[in-house]
Amino acid sequence: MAQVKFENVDKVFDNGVKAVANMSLDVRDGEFLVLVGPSGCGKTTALRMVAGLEAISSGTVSIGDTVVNNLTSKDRDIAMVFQNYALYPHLSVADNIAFGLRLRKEPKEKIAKQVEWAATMLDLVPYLNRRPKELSGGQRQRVAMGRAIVREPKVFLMDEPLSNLDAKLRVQMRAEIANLQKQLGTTTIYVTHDQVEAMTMGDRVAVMSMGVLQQVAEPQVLYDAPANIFVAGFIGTPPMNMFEATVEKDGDSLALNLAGARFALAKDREWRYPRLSQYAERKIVVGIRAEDVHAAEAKPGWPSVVGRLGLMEALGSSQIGYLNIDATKVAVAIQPKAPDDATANAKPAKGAPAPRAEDLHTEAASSFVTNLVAIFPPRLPLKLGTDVRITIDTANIHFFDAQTGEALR
Amino acid sequence: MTGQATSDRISRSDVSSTYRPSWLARLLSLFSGTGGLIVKIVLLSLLNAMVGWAVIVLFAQDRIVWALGTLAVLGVFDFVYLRPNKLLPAKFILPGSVLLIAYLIVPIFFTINTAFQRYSTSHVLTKAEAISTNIEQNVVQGEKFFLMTPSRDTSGALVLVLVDDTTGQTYLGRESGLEEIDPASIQVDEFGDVVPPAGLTALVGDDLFGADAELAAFEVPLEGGGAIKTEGISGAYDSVPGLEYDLARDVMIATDTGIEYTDNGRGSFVTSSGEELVVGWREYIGFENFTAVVTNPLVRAPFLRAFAWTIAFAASTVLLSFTIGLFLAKLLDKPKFRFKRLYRSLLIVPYAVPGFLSLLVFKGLLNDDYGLINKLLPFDVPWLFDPWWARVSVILVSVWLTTPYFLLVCMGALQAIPGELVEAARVDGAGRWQVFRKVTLPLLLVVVTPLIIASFAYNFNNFNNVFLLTGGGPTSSDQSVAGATDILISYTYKLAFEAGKGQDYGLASAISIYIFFIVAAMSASGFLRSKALENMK
Amino acid sequence: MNDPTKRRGDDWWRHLILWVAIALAVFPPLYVITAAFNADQTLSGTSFLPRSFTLENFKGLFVQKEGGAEVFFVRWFRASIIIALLNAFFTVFIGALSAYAFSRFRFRGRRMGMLFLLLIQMFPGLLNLVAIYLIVLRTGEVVPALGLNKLTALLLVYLSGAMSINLWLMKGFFDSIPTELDESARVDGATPAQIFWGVILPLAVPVLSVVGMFAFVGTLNEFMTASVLLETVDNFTLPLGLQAYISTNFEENWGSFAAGVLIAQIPAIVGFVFVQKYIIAGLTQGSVKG
Ligand SMILES: Nc1ncnc2c1ncn2[C@@H]1O[C@H](COP(=O)(O)OP(=O)(O)OP(=O)(O)O)[C@@H](O)[C@H]1O
Ligand SMILES: [Mg+2]
Repeated sequence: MAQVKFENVDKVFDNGVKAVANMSLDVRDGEFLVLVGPSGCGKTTALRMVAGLEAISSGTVSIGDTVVNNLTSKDRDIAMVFQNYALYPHLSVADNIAFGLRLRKEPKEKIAKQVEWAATMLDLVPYLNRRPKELSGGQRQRVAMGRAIVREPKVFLMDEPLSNLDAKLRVQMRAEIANLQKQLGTTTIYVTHDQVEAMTMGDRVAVMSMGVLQQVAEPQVLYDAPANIFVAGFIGTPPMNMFEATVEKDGDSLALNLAGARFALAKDREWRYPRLSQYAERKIVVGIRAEDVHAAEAKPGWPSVVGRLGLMEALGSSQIGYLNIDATKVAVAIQPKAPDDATANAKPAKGAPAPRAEDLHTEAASSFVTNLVAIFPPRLPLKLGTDVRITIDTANIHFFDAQTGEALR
Repeated sequence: MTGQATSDRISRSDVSSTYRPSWLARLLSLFSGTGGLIVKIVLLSLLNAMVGWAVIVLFAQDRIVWALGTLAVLGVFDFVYLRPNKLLPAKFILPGSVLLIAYLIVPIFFTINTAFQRYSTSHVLTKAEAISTNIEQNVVQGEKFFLMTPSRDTSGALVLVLVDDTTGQTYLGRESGLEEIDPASIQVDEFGDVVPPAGLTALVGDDLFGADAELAAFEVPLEGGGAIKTEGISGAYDSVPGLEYDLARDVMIATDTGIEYTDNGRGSFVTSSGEELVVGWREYIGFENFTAVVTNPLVRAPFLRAFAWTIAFAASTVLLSFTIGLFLAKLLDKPKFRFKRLYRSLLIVPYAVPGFLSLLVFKGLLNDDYGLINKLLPFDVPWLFDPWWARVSVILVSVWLTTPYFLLVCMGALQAIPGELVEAARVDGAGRWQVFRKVTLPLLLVVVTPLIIASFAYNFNNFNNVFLLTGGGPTSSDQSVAGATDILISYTYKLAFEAGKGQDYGLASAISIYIFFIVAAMSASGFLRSKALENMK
Repeated sequence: MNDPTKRRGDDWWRHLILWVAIALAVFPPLYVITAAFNADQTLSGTSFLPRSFTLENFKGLFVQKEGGAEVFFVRWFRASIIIALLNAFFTVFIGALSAYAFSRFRFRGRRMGMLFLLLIQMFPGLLNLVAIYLIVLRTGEVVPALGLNKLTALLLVYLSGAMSINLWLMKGFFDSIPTELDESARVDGATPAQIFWGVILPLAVPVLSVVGMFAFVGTLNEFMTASVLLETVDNFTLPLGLQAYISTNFEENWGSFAAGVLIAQIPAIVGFVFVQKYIIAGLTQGSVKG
């Protein structure tokens, strides 16, 4: 059992790509930490540095109390589950599971016992003598898990272990892996680009973007208090609506100016975003989750704005409406734009960095595009192409600096 | 875990709770830890012992540079393999690299070096060696003649008791040299035979005749060059060098006539009238070997003939084999064709039989006088006797050997062509032939062209097919080394290794380099083509 | 009904042509069989169908006839098999070692090394013969076991000859083995040597068989290098021996020669059948002999 600690870790590849920049992260003992982020953001690289499969360019990684920078993977006492499972095709399931133990020259009886234990735990007993190619995807996945757990390592490292499974199996395995980890209590770093996996499995979730760690927190905190525009846009489906807006001082209290309407802000808003008052009369970014948008008639007396309904998706339990309101949408670049964006010669952002201003595209509102997603109750009569009057529940909205993208906290 | 297992149709007999590792898994642990270490130490010690011994031999032979070089290589080995966890790639690459360097890269440099030298039968020595060999070989009989009594000393070594025919001076001649002795120590017995001094026994009767060969080879070296040589069993004469070397002027001088031989800069001593000493030496002569191919008619004619024939041979072999192979593959390429697998197996028989055996068998089959083929045919064909028929034979036999390869390749390639493409063309109204021409063939060529080029390059140097069937023969009318069916490589081989007309390593190496450039150009075009294909995909 | 996709009857001409081709393909090998058992031992006496059956021809291979050509069939055969097996084994082994390094390690000079190998592979080994002859001659003066007329020297030359092409072939295959397998083994505690033996080699069996098989058959077939390096008839390999055997007295030795051929082709054919499935796959990738 051990914690894993990243301290100011950088990874620069030979070709100049800076895959991980100044990463500091504490994974607590016994914790299930999920590392999430869009494709290419450096999750795998970070994980492989812990595994000893990738050299650390600068900074330190420690497992327990030992700095492991210069230890081979063999000496780090970790186990890793690969995305494509990396089962040895020429070995039986039992030999696959026993592989690491045999390399460590464990006594025969112990190997047999451990293999049996792991196989029982993972329901693999009937398949022990089969070859990997004679197994289904889910079974292979479990063999890969088995190979990791038999050795009882200090740390599990898992790199998108479920991404090769079909949707239904993925849901099932999600629960099984989380369960297994709880039973074993082994510190686990789990990499995924699927935010649902991240939210459902992790004790804590670390969000990365372009090599930079954005926020580490419990799943609900990430949702309720994203640290910056990137996290706000990445976590949650449908993604948070973000617009350029201004905040005005209204005597003692503040009000939000959006699409020509004025929404008074309650005092506790200010308390959650204490820096907001400093931004009065300045351009800011406001973030509104789809469930905080309501039809105006449901909230009589609230200020409202008009949006043209461009698209409707009826899900049965709710309807998702895509509207266009008279405001400038702020989109977050989830995919890195060009490789040179992340190269070493670009200065790494300092401190708790956020996406730089140039990563924020602004899209001019136009009648052809929709810029706002809203979740409406079912059976609300809405017609495509018509103007819909909507209002916003300001109790849960978020505020960010328009330049840095950071939350105004 | 959930009841995933129950949903799988699997019999309980499959269940095994006791884990038995497979042999592979066990093999794995064999190479870890101590086992691997012991193997490593044993191999390394063996290597050290063997190479160490070679180094000692080299030192003993005074080849200091080679000894040090070998020692350095050994040092590299020990260094690489004794450093734990370091220099990993080197550990894996070293054995292959050493082999490659010793028997491929060094020879390549050697070949290049040789190509710029005059290096042939009479030019294999260094200059110093050539000088002393010339002096040794050019001996003329001196003025003296000796009566000889072959004797043996107590150890059984041959000693000649010699009496100068004119002066009566007496000597003992040993393998180590000549020793003058007092004539009084020698007596002549009642039969007029010489009785050797004490400690020596004269050879008589059968012993004497039995030592015949030993005597003939026996020489008593003289100070200042020359030697005393035996003549028959009772006479000996002195021989003196017929040539002298004048170091200061670097000339050889004939001792009797005073004629001077000067270094012509091309590895020979020649007189002003162009007379050459037989033994020459290796000498750098620049591009002469290369230009000889163009300028020297004696070289140019056979080279060009062999070159043209090489191209004709390789091209017709490859094209015919490919065409026939494709034709047969197309015949077989029909869904649910009966006996398809049987036919294929029978058709690739020539590919499975080692080529050298087939070639030797064909040599018998095509024998002009007794061969079975001529017996079966209603008329006699001079298969191997006539130059043109010999060429035809070489091509036919090569086609026989190569066709199965293209059959296999084409069958594979035809299968890889998506059926929809052919069907689409059919639906568009193309006939069978048009489909083949416009769809199948172009697609097939995309895959097969690099292989055709590779096969061409291979046949370009197909020594066996020529040498084992015709030996390059029949001999051509101009009596040069290159026979009618010699391709460049067999011509080169003959130049270098068939002593009949004198070996010429320099010229052979130069032609080797020409061949290299030709083959490299062909391979490069094949390589670029397959690269181009890759990019297209 | 007339189904245009099924017209079996039209196939007779295909069968006819194929049978003609087959007859041509198998005629020489069949003839060898009949000649080997033909009591008419001379070439002039041969016929396609033997007039009477005999085993004398085989005896002729093992028993020296008075005044006849020198025959050391057993020695030739043994020499060829031993050298072919050793060459196949070491070619695979040494080649795989290097290919593993080129495929899995990143080191300075790696790309250059591969390109260099590609280049020298174009220098046909045969062209080096003069130099190789002289090197072996000199080596023999120091280490007689590696000198002229020694199979060990021949083996070393064979090993280096096809190294680069085999290395490319094997590296290509190794590259197709997912690196996750090595990495997973590394995390499990395997050393590079263990990964090589336990993971890469077992998975590379197809390419190793093909390379080994071609090294084996190639060695059995090789004439030119052997003829330069081996000097005395008792040290010959099969091709040299059989060639010398029939060229000294072609006419008379024909029957025994055929018997020798019959025996000599067994190892290669056995090997061929053994790895046939890999070869046919390998051929289309343009990797092997043509
Ligand atoms: N060996 C390498 N050499 C150079 N650049 C690399 C290497 N491996 C990864 N990269 C680059 O580093 C960045 C991060 O890669 P990484 O594999 O860590 O992404 P990831 O977050 O795991 O993405 P995914 O979700 O797609 O797996 C990418 O831009 C990638 O192109
Ligand atoms: Mg990844």
